[in-house]
Amino acid sequence: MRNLGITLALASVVCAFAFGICFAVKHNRELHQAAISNDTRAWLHAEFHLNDGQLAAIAKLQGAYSLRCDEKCAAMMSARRRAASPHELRQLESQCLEDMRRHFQDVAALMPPGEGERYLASVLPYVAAVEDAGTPSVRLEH
Amino acid sequence: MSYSVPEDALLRRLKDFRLRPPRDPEFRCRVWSRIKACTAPTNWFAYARTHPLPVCSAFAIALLVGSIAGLAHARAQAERDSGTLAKSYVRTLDPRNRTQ
Repeated sequence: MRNLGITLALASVVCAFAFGICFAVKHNRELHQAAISNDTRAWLHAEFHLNDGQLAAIAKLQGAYSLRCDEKCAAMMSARRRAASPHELRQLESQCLEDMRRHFQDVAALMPPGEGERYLASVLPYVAAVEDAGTPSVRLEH
Repeated sequence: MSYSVPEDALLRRLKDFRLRPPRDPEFRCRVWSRIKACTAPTNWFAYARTHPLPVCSAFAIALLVGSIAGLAHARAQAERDSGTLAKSYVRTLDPRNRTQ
């Protein structure tokens, strides 16, 4: 009985050791660190294996997207201020989301083959969630 | 059924038969020492040598379970981290956040 207990205790130690080794080998520290610091650039680097050139190109695309988005958002706010028709508002909102989706496709095109598809599969469900949650003008009513 | 030895002769022989084992004064001690050896706790290494199959099976199962759990935990954490970051990434580009 005592030896059975020792065997089980040693087996537990072996189990814990195997767990630790396999976790340490498979654990993506860079990704976890990025999640803790909410660093999306580090996420792109760690998750999609991008080099500095690709990251710089993506940052440039993002800058251009931000300018476009700001313009659209300003147009949308102005439309709300002048009480534009719901149809016009919906059109502006859908243009905004479409622009966001196109931006993601442009970013995916800069990634290595295979990674772009993975990137789209990661982000597009959240774009769909944005649409489901409500469009920008709904938020502006608050 | 027929017997080659007559019944009277057999009975007489059985009556005369005596078992005379040689005297062994150490017999009792030897029996007790064997009983003690059987009941005394054995060294774990001796136990493992005498029970290699259950011991090795326990270690193999522990190794397998630990490895699978470690890999699964790492994968789940990576998926969770990636999901959190993807959500945050989309949120930063979400037009609703830009109009606030």
